[in-house]
Amino acid sequence: MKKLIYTLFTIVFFVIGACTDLDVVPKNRLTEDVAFLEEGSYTAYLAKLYASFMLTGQEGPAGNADITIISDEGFSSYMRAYWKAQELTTDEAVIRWTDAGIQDMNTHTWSSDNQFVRVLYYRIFFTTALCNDFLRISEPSLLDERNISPDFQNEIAIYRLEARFLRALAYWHALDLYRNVALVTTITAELPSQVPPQQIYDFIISELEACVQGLPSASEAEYGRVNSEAARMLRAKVRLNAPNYLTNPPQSIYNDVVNDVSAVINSGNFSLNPVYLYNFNADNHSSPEVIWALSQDGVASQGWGGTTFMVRAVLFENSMTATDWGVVSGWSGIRTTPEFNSLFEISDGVLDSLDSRNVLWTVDDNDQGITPRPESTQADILGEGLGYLAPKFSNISSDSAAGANSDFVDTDFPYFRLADAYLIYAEAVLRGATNGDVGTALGYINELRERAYGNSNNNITGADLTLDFILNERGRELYYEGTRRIDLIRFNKFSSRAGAEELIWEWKGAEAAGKSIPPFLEIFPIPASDLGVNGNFRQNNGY
Amino acid sequence: MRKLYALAVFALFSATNIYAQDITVTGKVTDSEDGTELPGVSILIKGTAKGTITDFEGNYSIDAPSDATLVFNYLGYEPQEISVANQSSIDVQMSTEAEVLQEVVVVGYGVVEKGDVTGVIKKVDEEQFNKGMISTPQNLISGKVAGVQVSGSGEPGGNATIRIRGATSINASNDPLYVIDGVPIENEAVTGSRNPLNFLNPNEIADVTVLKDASATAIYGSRGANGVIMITTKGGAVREGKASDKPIINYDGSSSVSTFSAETPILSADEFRAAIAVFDDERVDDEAVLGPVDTDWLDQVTQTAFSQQHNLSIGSNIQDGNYRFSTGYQQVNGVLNDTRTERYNVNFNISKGLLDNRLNLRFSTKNAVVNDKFGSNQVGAALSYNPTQPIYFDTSLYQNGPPAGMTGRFGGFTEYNDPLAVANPVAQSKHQKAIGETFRSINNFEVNYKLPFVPGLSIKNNIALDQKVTDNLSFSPNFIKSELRTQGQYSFERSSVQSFLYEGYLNYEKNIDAIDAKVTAVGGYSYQSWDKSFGFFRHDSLNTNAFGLDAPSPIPNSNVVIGNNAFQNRLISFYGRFNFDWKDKYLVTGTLRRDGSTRFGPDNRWALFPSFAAAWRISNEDFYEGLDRYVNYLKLRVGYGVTGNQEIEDYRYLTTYEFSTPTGSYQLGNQLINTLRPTAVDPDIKWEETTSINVGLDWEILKGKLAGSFEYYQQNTDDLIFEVAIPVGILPTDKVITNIGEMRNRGFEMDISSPIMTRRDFMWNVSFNAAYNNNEILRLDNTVAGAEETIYPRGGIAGDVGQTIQVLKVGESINSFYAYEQLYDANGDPIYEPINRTLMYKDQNNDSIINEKDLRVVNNANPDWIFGLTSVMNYKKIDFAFTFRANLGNYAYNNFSSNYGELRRLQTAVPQNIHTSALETGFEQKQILSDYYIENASFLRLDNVTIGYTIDRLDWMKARIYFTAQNVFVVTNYSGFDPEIQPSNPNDPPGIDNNLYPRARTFLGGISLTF
Repeated sequence: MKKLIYTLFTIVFFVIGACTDLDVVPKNRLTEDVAFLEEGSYTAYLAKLYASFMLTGQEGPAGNADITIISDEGFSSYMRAYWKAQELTTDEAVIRWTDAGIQDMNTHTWSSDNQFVRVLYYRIFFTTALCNDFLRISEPSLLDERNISPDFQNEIAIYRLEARFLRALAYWHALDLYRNVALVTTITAELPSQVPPQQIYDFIISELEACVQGLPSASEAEYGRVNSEAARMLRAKVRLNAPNYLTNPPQSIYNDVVNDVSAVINSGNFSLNPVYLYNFNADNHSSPEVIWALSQDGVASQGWGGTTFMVRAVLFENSMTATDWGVVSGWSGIRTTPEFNSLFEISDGVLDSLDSRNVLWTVDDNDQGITPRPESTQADILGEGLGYLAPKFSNISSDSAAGANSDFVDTDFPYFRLADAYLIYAEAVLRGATNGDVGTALGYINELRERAYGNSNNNITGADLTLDFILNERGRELYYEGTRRIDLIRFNKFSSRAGAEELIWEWKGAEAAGKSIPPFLEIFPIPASDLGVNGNFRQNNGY
Repeated sequence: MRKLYALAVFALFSATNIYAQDITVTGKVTDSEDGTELPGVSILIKGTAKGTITDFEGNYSIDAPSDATLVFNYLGYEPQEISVANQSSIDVQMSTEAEVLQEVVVVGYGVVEKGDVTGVIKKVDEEQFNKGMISTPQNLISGKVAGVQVSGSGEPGGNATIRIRGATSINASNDPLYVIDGVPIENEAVTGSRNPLNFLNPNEIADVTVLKDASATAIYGSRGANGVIMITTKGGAVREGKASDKPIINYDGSSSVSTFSAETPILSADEFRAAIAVFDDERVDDEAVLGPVDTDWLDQVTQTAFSQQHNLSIGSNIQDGNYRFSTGYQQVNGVLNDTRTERYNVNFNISKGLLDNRLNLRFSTKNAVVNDKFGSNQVGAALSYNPTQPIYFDTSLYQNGPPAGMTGRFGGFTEYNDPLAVANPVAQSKHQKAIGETFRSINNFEVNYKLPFVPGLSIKNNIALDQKVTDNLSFSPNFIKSELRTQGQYSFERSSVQSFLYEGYLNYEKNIDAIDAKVTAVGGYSYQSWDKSFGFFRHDSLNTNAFGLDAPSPIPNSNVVIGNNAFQNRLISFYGRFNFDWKDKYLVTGTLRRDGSTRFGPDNRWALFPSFAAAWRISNEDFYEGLDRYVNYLKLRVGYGVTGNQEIEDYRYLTTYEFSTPTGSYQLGNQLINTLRPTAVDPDIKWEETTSINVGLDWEILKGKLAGSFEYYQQNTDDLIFEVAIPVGILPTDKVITNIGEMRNRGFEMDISSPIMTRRDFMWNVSFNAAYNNNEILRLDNTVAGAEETIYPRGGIAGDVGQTIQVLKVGESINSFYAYEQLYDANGDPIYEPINRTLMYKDQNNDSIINEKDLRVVNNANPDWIFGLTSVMNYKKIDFAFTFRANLGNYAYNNFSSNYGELRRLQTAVPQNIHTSALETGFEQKQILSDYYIENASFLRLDNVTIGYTIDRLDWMKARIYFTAQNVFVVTNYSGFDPEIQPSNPNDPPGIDNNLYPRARTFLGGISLTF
């Protein structure tokens, strides 16, 4: 009997333990079903779509990174990578750091393995997929299922347009920089294929039409969120550059461009900031000239990319007092070339000190002033001591106070500003738009010049208003705002493309004096890592 | 050793008191086959410690009670027991042991006799363990088992990683599964604890068994791919044959001194002055550049460290059982200032048989508190800081008054004002505090019941609770330079893990005499769950420093970061094993395990892991007769098995959303909004699967004077869990953790051991092992035909942002270095041409550009060969043992040399010391991707030497005093501190030398007392 009891006891014990339940629900993260029952989650997700352009992960300044295709999170900032692609490849900027692959951006020697080529590519498509996912979880049918209130559903309808704008923006970058990419508009497991550039272009234009129609205008939209004028600006810029992307685009694009920028200019929502540099400082969110900016906050919105990079990488530790720009130290990285400086030259070797947009410094044995350009040497760019730099962005506000944090700036990145609209108007007119006029264009350009000089002494005449002048004026007005590469290509001055009037600058093509580069370099290669996992993809010609 | 074992067994079962009268017994012991006289045969009066041995002619003489039993023991022969029965002359013929390897080894869910083993299983007994001040159990078996590489850091209690037959995984863990007394234990590293196994006092370990091949580890299924380390702790009272109904008390204590003396390849103060005169002559008179004194900064942040340990145990055999209680204390100080590990242990176990020993109960509790002091590793800063500046800023030292740009305002320490300048290492070392406090308790209760109705059938239950709490605290006061901006820092982190285990299995044994066969079978169920949480808070502005770590005082409105993360996972398994032994010649083992894990999605949760092995005892065959004269034991084994690896993060199959921290918000309108982001995953992720085959041969020659084994293996890991780039645009991520690629390890191993001498007063055992392993990545990615080959950079290095020095590439080993090929001039010096790099590096693809495409694989960090040699000698009362280890063909990247080896460091606003390699290379700017820095790190190390003396003159106590030297010397061509490089994070790839914790040389003296 005793034996039997022990046996039974043991067997019962054995059986009790036998559980096969493996359904464990995450405790520390939210599943989709849980997360989107709350209205605030949609706003938080929308904020992420914007943040994807500036911040690098879920912990500021670094940590829990969005993408890890590059091992240093600071380099994975969208705007930092975008800025490098649009500026380091031109006469506006060279970087003297020696991180593997970064010099290739100065010297046009990038390969499909280059980490800076790679990180921008992955960042762009991270953002497009993030927008796709947002659009998926915010489908109106799902909102009903989750009992989201009708009022908030109307708000979400605007969020969805914002997501479509941001996705179109990212696709424009993809089209502009990598050209032959796939168009993926849903979350999918299907292997994507490259589509003709025309298809991407048409997609962007039609998405922006919906945004122009549906988004509130800047007077009604919250700061930092895109508005219908921003959608028009983006559409104008995409169309203006259409000849780069499409074979034989219709001449009518210039009329469309003028339509859009005129609507922006005449909206009455924007005016030039009397002080040029106040567009790039710690309180630039209050500048009336900014159509749409990506925001950054030194305390709550921290990152090693974005505008923190734009402020600090330009400051040279040995020769400048970084606190004058509101930051604790400079990163001694970015300089300009002598060729860019010549845009501000009034006579040989003498820079125009009256143009308030000229903030060029020569770093010449701690001599802190605007001095004539010395003889160019290799050391100008890569060495420690000499060279020019352009500290245009700062973390000091218009009342001379430093930002809240000296490591991370409060400066927003003005993605579209009125000055650009003026310049686009003039350019479109010069390129044959029939719905604008040269007189208005000249007026816009002279408004910019009067703002720069504080008087009309340096105004130009109608005879001065040529396309070449526009390119140079864009350089003076918009340098370091991430547009130079696009401009040089549009004006056919970037490479040795047929009919080009190619510009040469120091270190272009990996020669100290600079040399001509082949046209395939107008776009970047598809990163080898993507070709490695996507057999549908073919490399861009020349790489 | 085997003799001792036999003695112990006999002692255990006899407790006869002897009242009879003594008579003198004499006789001769010969070999039963050829009649040769056997010298050195031990003769023991059963139940006592009294005995003698035969002389050179095999003769003996002993005074024994007339009713005593004599036990004859000789290595390689069957022991014999003969009753004296008043005989005064007893001649004995001893026959060769039929089963030479009688030892029992633990395998998963059971034990087998060593001779019946079909897999690759190697047991290391306490006697063979490494000696000395050892705080981590892993280090006990370093160098003892072929193909088992134990590498540890020089830190006290520092993590030691074990790699069995190379690495089988890239992203998932490569650590073996640790099973302590039948309980698979959680082994994940957490901050605040240097080594998750440190809770286990090495002194409490009876033996360690390594299961190497899949046929042995497949019973652990999804956790068996990296091998299994079975640790058995001591129980009861079995001590050198002493019978024991009466408790045995053992005390073991030792203290040690550790020193560090490596040649530091940086400039001395005088050399620094000379270098400045050459490379920056304009500044020789600047006292901020060339200061007034000579300071050896490394010396200032290192120390001679004293350590001690004490262990006390009481154990006894009771009827049908035994118990043991033990307690221990260990304090190990590091050679780096303010580094320490301290452990308190209390362990107890008891086992007891009931119902005529049919029901066996065992309870065991192991508890430890481990306190770690991490100090602040200032080696890098010490090697960097200007060697001509004083520790404390004393303006009177300077001829021209205090130099510009320098200050003493941070607690009086010499500091440069430049925020980018390295902070004074002594100040940092003195004032930054970091400690970890870990409490761990493992309790388990086992019930083994021999079922009454079916002979041979028993049922076993094992319930275990494993709990671990680790607190990690750090503090920096607000006055030191590095905290200038943040005004002090404080953080508190707590990670806790609770694991529950239930195992229940049936065991069946039957002899089928009709066909001379034996069958054993095991079948069972296992449930293990883990609940983990990680909570923290940090703030970065202190009101006061007065209370330091214990009572931080944040200033109002300062930035406090808080958080918590909770995880949960389960593993549920069914398993079975079947053994068939026919005629003691043919052995077959089959195992099957079905594992279900919450780490995978519903479709991939369950997986099946089979294994099969067979062994053939050739030397037992009839036809073998006569051959045993040459080779007296021969066994051939073959094994095949599939094992898995599931050591990845939880919920990698499920898309989840998480909020950002407050500093990662985004501004929309006037609101700052915590962002919400999805984590993209591969919903189809599944187990890694390692399929391996093994062919082995066990042999003995010269009547057991030389024994060993030889193994050949090949293991292919498929569905490698790896974080891989996805085709862009389809998911909101750039990479997902998924199954991709395949790699292979293959190699061979050899163990040889020899009881060279087996005389009673002179015993000498030598064992040697060697292992060769080759790793190759066979496939990466779901590469589509026509797609470009993908390579994955890994292995981050210091000295630049986000640079890597290793690569994953098909056809190469997983820890391959990837670098530019340095070109050298006629004198053999590296060429430095930063502007025209084609002169400096080989242009591999001849495109006149040096870029990523010119990087190529240069060797790898994995050793081709690993060797271990252990010698144990006993001469009368003196024992002497040593262990050598060697690795061949392992390369290391000298990150210290590459990072500090640039002349520009002398010329920056605040000059820094340089690595002397810069004088050879002439590199103005660092060239961190040059293969110049990839060095052969093969080495030979005398790990351990111990000499001991036993005092056994007293009846009531036996004592042994001993001296040990650890890390006695190392022979290597590697130019860094130490050729064995331990990454600070065990999941980081090996072979990158940037974690500069110097390895100490330790001298220890101790005493062991047994009552």
